[in-house]
Amino acid sequence: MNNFNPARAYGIVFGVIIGTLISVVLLMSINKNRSLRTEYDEMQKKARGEAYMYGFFTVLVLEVLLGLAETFGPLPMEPLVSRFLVIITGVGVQAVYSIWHNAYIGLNTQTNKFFVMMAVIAAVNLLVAVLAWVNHSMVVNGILQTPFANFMCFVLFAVLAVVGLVKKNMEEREEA
Amino acid sequence: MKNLRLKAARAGMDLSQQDLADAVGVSRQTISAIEKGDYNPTINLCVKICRVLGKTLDDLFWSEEELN
Repeated sequence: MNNFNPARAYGIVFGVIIGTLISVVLLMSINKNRSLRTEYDEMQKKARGEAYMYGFFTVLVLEVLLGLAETFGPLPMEPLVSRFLVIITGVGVQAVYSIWHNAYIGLNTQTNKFFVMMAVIAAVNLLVAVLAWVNHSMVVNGILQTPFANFMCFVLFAVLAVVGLVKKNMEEREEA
Repeated sequence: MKNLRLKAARAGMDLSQQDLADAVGVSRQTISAIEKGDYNPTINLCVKICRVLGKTLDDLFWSEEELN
């Protein structure tokens, strides 16, 4: 299960580098003045601090649970998938808390571009996951493979979209 | 505790929450939270709001009721 595959490892590293570069370009394109820095006001900074705290503790608890689970034997998933499970859950907690406290979208964020970017990222991840499922490369010999991380990313974005819509709906009702 | 004096002062100058938020450099939701009493702003933000609305800190943020 843990056989080292150099081509695959270099592929993942290359993918991470390209992904980081794309993220920088996207961030600059959704922020006003092409700024890399997203600005938040004082209430948003306070809420985001709390959000990061909850995300941090979520990651801690999940890491402990995952470690305990692994003492009973190897999990039916690739190591990268279990790491992503923890990271995505932590990010999800941070993001949901931020959305709920109006601290997810920055003061200098172009909202429409931001939502388009989120939708595109979700769609790309769903596409990768569906293709993997169709090609029977999602689960091999009962082991969840890396494309499952793409499916988890899609689920994360779907949850964020639902939370965002519910929050928007509630605010509109309060204002009416 | 709701800050009705802030809401009244803002409405008195015919400013929307968004107008006031833009003038002091915060989000509309932050102004809404201050008016609803869900968020206690820092003294810096209080001063900015007072300057925009032409009021003093006492006018908008000092509450005898809360102290008693």
